[in-house]
Formats: sequence, structure tokens, C-alpha cells
Amino acid sequence: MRISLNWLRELVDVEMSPEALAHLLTMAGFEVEDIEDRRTWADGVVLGKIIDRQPHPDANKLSVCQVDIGAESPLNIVCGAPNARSDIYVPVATVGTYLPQIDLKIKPAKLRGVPSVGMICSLAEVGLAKESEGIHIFELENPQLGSDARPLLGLDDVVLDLTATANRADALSLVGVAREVAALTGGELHLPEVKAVAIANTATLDLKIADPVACPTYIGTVIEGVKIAPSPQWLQRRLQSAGVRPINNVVDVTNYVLLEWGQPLHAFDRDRLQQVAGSADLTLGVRLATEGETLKTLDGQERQLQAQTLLITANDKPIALGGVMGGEETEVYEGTQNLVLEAALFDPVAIRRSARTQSLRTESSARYERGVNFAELETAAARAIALIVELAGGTPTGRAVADTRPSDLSKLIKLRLDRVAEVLGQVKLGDTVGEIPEADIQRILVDLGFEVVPASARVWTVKVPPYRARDIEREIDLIEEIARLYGYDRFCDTLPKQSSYGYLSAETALNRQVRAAFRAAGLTELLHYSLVKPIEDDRQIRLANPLFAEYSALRTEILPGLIEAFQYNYQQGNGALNGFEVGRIFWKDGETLKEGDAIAGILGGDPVRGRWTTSGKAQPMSWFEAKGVLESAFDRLGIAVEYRSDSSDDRLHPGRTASLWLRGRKLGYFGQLHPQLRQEKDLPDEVYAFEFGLDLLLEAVGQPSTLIPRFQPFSTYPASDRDIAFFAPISVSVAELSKAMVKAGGKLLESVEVFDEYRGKNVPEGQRSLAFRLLYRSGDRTLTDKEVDEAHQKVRDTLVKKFEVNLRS
Amino acid sequence: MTLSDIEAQLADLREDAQTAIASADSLDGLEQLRVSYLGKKGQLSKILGGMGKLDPSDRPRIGASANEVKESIQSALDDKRTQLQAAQIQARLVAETLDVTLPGVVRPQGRQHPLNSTLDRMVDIFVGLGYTVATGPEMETDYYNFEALNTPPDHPARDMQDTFYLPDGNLLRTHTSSVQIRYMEQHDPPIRIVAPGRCYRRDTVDATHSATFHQLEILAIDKGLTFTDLKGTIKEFLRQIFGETDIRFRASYFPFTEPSAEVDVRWKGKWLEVMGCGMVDPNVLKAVGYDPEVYTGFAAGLGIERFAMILHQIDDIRRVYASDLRFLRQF
Repeated sequence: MRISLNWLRELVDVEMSPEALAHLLTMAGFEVEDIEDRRTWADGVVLGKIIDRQPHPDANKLSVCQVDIGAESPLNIVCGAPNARSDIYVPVATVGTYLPQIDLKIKPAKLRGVPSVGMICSLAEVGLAKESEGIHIFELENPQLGSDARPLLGLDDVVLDLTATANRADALSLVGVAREVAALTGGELHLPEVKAVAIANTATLDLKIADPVACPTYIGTVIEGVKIAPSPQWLQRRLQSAGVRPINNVVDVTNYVLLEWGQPLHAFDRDRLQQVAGSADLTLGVRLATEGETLKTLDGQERQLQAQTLLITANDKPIALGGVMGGEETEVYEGTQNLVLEAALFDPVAIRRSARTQSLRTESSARYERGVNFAELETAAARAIALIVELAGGTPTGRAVADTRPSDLSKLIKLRLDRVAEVLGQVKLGDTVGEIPEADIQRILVDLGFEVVPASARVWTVKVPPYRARDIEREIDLIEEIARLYGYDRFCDTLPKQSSYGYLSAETALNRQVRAAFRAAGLTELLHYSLVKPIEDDRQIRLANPLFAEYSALRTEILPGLIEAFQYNYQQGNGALNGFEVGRIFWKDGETLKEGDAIAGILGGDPVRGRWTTSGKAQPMSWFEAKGVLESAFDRLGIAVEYRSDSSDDRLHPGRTASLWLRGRKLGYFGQLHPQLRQEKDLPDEVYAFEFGLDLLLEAVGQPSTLIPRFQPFSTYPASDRDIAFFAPISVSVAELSKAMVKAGGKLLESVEVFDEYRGKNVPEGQRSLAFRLLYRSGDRTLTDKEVDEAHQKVRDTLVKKFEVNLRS
Repeated sequence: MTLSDIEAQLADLREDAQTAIASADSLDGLEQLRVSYLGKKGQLSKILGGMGKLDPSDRPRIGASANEVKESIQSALDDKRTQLQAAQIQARLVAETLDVTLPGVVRPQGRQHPLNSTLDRMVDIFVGLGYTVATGPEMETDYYNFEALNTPPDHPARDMQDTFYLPDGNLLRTHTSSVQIRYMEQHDPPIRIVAPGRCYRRDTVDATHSATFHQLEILAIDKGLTFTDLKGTIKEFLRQIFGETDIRFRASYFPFTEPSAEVDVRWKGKWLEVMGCGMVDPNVLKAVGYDPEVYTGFAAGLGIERFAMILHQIDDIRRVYASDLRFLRQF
């Protein structure tokens, strides 16, 4: 809310600078986001009078003016405004003036050969209008030439742009802010005196409140014989300072009272109401709309009403969105003579829901949603009536009131001083520390308008002023007020007396290990949005209320984001992205929505830096090198992963993809991108990807035997190696062969390593040549050749028997 | 062959050998010289071959002379070998000399993402202060995200957090505060948790806003915790993150804490709002079955992106999720 300091100073005595006040309010929870010092907008602009105007000798649109600013001789100013003429009073920016709103410093100049010392200003040039037709002309009774023009322009003010927290409905008004300032500074309050005029009920206006929960109080006042005209300058300026556009005296008064007291009001044209109602006898009602009803609101919109839209009706016909916006048909206009002024209370929830049905948020609805002050409705209504009478003439002739408010709005809360100390702790008191002194607590509460009565030792009964009834309901609310006003920075800084054992959860610790392993293998950490463009996938979860189509679904896997990122970097000429992401994925299991963590990676290209050793040639990562990256990460994590040929994912090369298995459970997959996909995305050939479920991986990494490996003694006796080479059918995998060899070799066989694969010339069709080196070793003796040969023969026999291999050595 | 002949021959041989060895220029040449002088069929042997004809009484004298010559040649050979070997290594060193300024062949390790590293650092600080990590689901119920946090339906504070809803009526959590409730339901006080995680808000995407972002939340519940403990804890955390700098607590409002504060840090001459915090509202404690007369506590929440952006001076939050290598390589 924009707060004019001039206005505020009428309500409360406050001497401090705008900056100091802004700081004070900010620290107390009313964040001042901007200080608009309007005084700077026209610093150096004085009142002048054009005493002579002659056309410019060399320019049609310019004129040369003699301007008296009360100095010894008039100023010679060249002016381009069409409305410049002699004998008018104008704002004159003297030489040296800086006009920040148009970023212009006034210097002596020559315009088409004629010297000009100063500038006659338009309202736009001093920031008071977006555009101006010409220079501003003052209508003044007692002009003081050469005097500061800012008070005449209303530019002697500073406006604070202040945000009240969501709980402080009372502070969405000048009066509310003034009360806060009074409590913070001790300044005296001067709230406007409002004389309530007794108005009798009238037979021509009746009320029918169908939903007293949504509208606890409604006061309709008939005012007859008003004359619609522009508001006086002071009122217009007040509204402008708050960013509200002046319209006419009646509407401006309702807006003025809204700003001053935080009470929304609405003025209907009584005669138009009667037309809509089709009767001279009006019954105003409050009810929810029924489906199919429409209403054209003040903003010119034809609105389709819904079941939760709250309506004001005249003889049951919709005339306004209650508490949100008036209707166009019954709006006050220049011909209006008679009014019905609405002053009402609406339930926050009802208004919130109603405004939402129309996607509307107005000054009025914003206040009702937070809850306006129940206690000052009459004050605000009387204030508005008095101002309308003063500014637009007219006589209040009758009223109708429906009121279901409880008779006593005040609230009593028990405050235990021990509890204050228990929650807040100690404050700095000079050189020592201690509880907040009782006297300070009492002073704070009294300054805030609370009444404090001691009930027993260290227990007080606190009476809450009605304007704070909305946010002060419990003892803790009072404790907060005490802390807030005492000042947070005056409290001590302590650490909890009782310490606790801090530790990383197993999940977090393992997660970090996994990330470290993949980083060490050369993959960089990536993070992408979980919100993605929807795809054809029944398992994908779509948001019920997305903001943008491209972020309207949740990712079911991580890989697509990585492929996109790879493509982006490749297009940017950044080279191959070798990275991985650990993140959450989401899916539908029937109607149940599920989520889980996954890890996925993308790699390829030639990650090596320092290509001068290969004459600048990139050596793209081979499939087995890519697999090696994964294996090195798994090695570091201490887990054994089994690879099985897999061709089920159509984004991956069917002959170059493996599913990965961990102790018989599927972990995920690894493979080369499908040539089709690579072609579509214009990617290089050597791009590989993987994705695993994180839970299974962490479970394996988190096994105590993996986390704390047990030392295995190694043999100090020499090993004997034996090579074996054979032709084997291509359909038999190296994994199968190795497994069989390990089994056949028994205890003496220490390791099996493939060291050659060859296909092609001299190898029978459908077969490949493979060579393995087998290492035999015992832990307690040097093996004899005979022992080794016997074991090796078993291996050879097994290979022939089981896989029909053709031994070559 | 007389004694003096042999002696003369030995003297000649010694001189010859000394000269030849001195002028040898390779280890191979030196070896040839050794064989030629001292080998079985070498010149020394030949000379000594004539010894048989000498008077036996002269033999020891010649034997001693011959040994002396042999030792002298051997020593010359050894010296020369050492010298030549040193020269050979020297030559090799010269031949093998590289331009050490040529770049290395690098197989780069992966980098940490700045959000991950910032998050890890924060978690470690709180672990040091006695907290442990807790996590929760990103798809959340209205109860855990709002209601249990003292934010009933139609509460104006819900406007502060525009929410994405899911087809089953649940929502994407708007803050990590939901973890508080889940954890408190499962555990009894005392509680000290730090809950990092991804959150979602239905917010326009710009340089400082993202529909997906990360928060870190702390919660401490115990007997006797006060507002000053909250202040001290937050200040210690911020001191470890930003170093010694001014910190201020501003009054604020959150439905789930009271009193509530926003915390500003003076960073490069300006006050920056970095986190929100407060004493846990008694209604929140009641919602999980704790007696607010017995237990008090505090909670704080912060945006990890904001911290990462301040610390690394990142100009646009969108960069954090764009995976541009030119960005990633800097961390």
C-alpha cells in the first residue's frame, strides 16, 4: 500500500526522516519496498508568470517568452507548448534544476539561435502525468512569484510503498499504519473526528440478507440531492498519492474512506437501482449467484456468475459482486442525483472464493479477504456520509441496517510473563542480560492499544482493541507483538543449551558417495526441471492446473532431459556433455501416483583435453570405453553389476544395449543412442546413456560389507598362467563363457581375463575367435605343472562340452 | 726374452692402454679395449705367456709388475666407464627434454553442480550444529503442506504460495516445511532436523523465479528452546556461509511460526533477504500431538538457489537448470 507521509502526519505526530521511518516500519514487519520522494521531482521549479510571448523568428512551433519569477529581470525562455500565452502562472524549472522523471538537467541553451534560460514545465515533466498536451497553468488566488512550485503541484510529499503481512488486515489503511507508527515512535494519534448523524430507517429501502455468515452486517444509506462534480484538489492529490485515479466527488469519497479506514464502501445510483429493480421500493439482498446469471461490472466486463459468486441484488436482480466490484448499470455517473451508500462487512472466505470465481482481485476484495475491522464500520460510513454531504451536497434521508455482529467485540487474553520469557529468552540490558522488563512489556501493549490488567502474580489480562481482533487471538500473538515492538535485534543470540548428535542420514551419505563416484568417472552433475512437456504415455502425471504447456507434466524418467542438454551443448559448439543427474521421477500406477529417485547419465564424444598428442584428432569414446566409465564408478562403489543384452528401449541401439542387474534385480539399462534418434537430433554417433533406479543402487552400496570391506589375504606363492583360444558361436556371450570357466577351474583358478576377440577372415561363419588368459594360484603352496594342467584340462573340457567351442590351442 | 724385455713390454702396454682408454668414446669401444688388453687372449696374457722362459726367481717380480699394470688398466677402464655412462645419461636427458608448458592430456573429472555443492555445505553446517537429515515426498497432501502448518483452506497466506495441483487432488509441495510435520508425527522430541529438497510454485519464470526450486528447512523442538536460540543458530549458520557480516532480523509473518522473522544479510554493501524463520506456532505442535506448554521450537527455511546465486554471483536462475557446459565447468 502506498502511504503519503503528508497524509500520515495528519494522523500521527512523526518527526523522523522518511528513511528513518521506512527503516523502523521495515524492521517491525511492514516492509517498505520503495521510498518515492516526490520532492525531488521538481526541486528548483518555481512559480513564474509569462508576461510576454512572441513567436520564434525561425521556428513555427516555438515561442519566446518573458517569464517573471520575482527576480530583478524576467527570464528569456523558448517554449514549444501550444498553450503558452501571456498572463498565465506556470511552473518554471530554473537553470541548474534536475528533473529526474524525464532525466533532464536544465542548462542555458540556444534554441534555433534564441537563448533560453530555463524551462516552463508540463505535468509530465514533473512526473504527475504520463503525457501532457502543454505546459501546466495554475489557477491561483494569491500568487507568490518565485516561490517553490512544489506545494502547488502537490510535490511536497514522500510516498512509502509499504507491504503489510497477510495477518495484518488492519494495516491496509492510513489509520492502521498511523496506529502502528504511534506505537513504534510514541507519537500522538490524531484520528479524524467523525460526527455520526442520526438517520432514520426508511420504508423505501429494505434489506434481505440471505447469507448472514457471508455478510454479517449491511448498512444502506439513502442520500438525496447530490451534485456530481470533480473532487477538490486536496482529495484528488490524496488519491493520486495512493495510486488511485480520481473519478468524481462521490466515488472519490468512497475510495478516500477505503484508504483512510480500510473499509470498502460502494455508492449506487438510487434511481438506476429503481430502474433495475422495476420498483421505487428497493430491497437490497446478499446471496450467492445461481448458474447462468450474468452481471456487467464497472470494468465493462460481462461476467458469467458461478455458484460461489457472492452478489448484491436489488429486488433479487444482480447489481454488484458483493465486496469485490460494483455493477456498471447502477454506477454513479455525472447525472446522478440520489445515492444508496453501501457500508458492509463480508466474510473473508466468502469473498476469497467469490473473487476467485471471477479471477478478480480489487482493493476492496483484498481487504475483505484479510478481514476488515468489525468495530469501525459505523465510523467509516459516517465519515463517508459527512464527506459526501460536504463535497457533493445532498442529504441523508434514510437507512436500512441488517446486523448480526456480536454485541461485544472485545476479547480478553491471559498473558503469563513467565511464558513470554520461556518463548523469547533473554534480551540485552546494558551490560547484562535478562528478561524483558515488565514495564517495557506493559508500555508496548498499551502503546499498541491493548488494555492491561494484572490478574495474579506475573499473569495479566489483556484486552484486545477491536481493530486487532483479527490477528490477536492467543497468548502467543501477544508474545509476538512484544518481541516485534521491543525489537528483534535487542534479543540475545544463544545456541540451544542441550545439544544433539548431528549426522548425515544413511541415504544422504550414500547419495554423496554415488555422486562422487560418477564425478570421478568423468561425469558432471546436472539438474533439470521435473516439470516437462507432456508426452504420449499413460504413466505420465499431468498437472491439474499447469501454468505453461511445456511445463505441464511430471517427468517419468531423467534421460530425456539429458539428451536435450547434450543436444543443446553440441549445437552451441561446447562439445560433448558428459554428465549425470540424480533426481526424482513420477509415474502413475493405475490410479495411484508414485514417485521415486533415479540416476541417469549421458556420455560420449571425446572427453579428453589435450589433443595435440593425437594431431588434433578427436578419438570418440567407444562403446566399451563408455561401459568402462560406468564400470569404474561401480568399482569405486564396490558393487558387481551384471550386463545382459537388451533391445526393449526404442531410443537405444538394439544391438548395443544392456540391461543391468544387481543380485538378480533389474537396476536399469546402458546403451548407445539409436541411430534413428541420433539422426533426428543431429547428434554424433558416439553417444551413450544409462538410467538406474537409485534405491536399488543405494541399497547395494549401503551393504555393511560394501561400506566396510573385509580384508582378503592374498597368496604369496607364484601364479601359473595358461592361455586358451577357441572359436565359439557368436550367440554365446563372454559372460557365459567366463562363468563356466570359473566354475570348472575350481579353487585353483584365480582369474579369467579375455584378451582377444576377432571376427572375419579365417573364422567360420557365425563364430568368433576368443582368447582368454587364466591365472592359477594357491594360497598355501607353489602349484606343480601337473596340478595346473589338470585344472586347466577341466576348463577346456567344459568349454567343448557345454558350448561346442573349437579349441585352437 | 729377457726380464727387461718383458718389463719394457709391460710398460709399453700400460702406456698404450692408458692412451687408448683415454680416447675411447663409447661403452662398446671401451669393452673392446678391455678384451684387447685384459681378455683371456688379450695383450697382457700374451706378454705373460713369455714368462715361462724366465728364470723362476724372476717370476715373482714380473708377476707383481704384471698385476700392477693390470690393476692400473682396470682402474682406467672403470673410471672411463663411469665417465662414459654419465655422458650417455646426460645425452639421453638432453634428447628426452620436453616443453613442459605443452598441455597435459586430461581426462577431466566431473564437476559438482553449484546447487548440490551449496546444499551439501549447508547440510554439513547443520550436521555440525547437531542436526540430522530428513526428507519427504514431493507429491504432498494438502494436510502436510498447508493444514497441519496452521494454514487452513481459504487462508490468505495461501496466496503467498501459488500451488500446482495433481489429478488426484494432492499437490506438489510448495515448501519443505511439509517434512517437519511428517517427521514430528514419527518421532518424539527432542528433534533437530535439516530437510533439503525440491519444491514447486506456480510462478512465472524469470531471472529470479523458477517453478522448480530447492529449499532447505531446519526444525528444532525441545524443552526450553527460545527465540534467542533461533537467532543464535541462524547467525552461526550465516557466519559459516558468508563470513563475518552484519545480520538483521525483521519482523514478518508465516502461518506456521510465531514470532516470525525475515533474515537479511549485508552482502557487498546491500541488505539481502536470505531466509525466513520463527518459533514454531503452538497450533503446529498441537497438530502433531506435542504439548506446546511443554515443548517449544524453532524453524527456518531458505532457498538454495538464492544462496548459490549470491555466493557465486550467478545472474539468472535459469542458468542453473540449462546445463550449459560453459556454466557447469566454472564450478
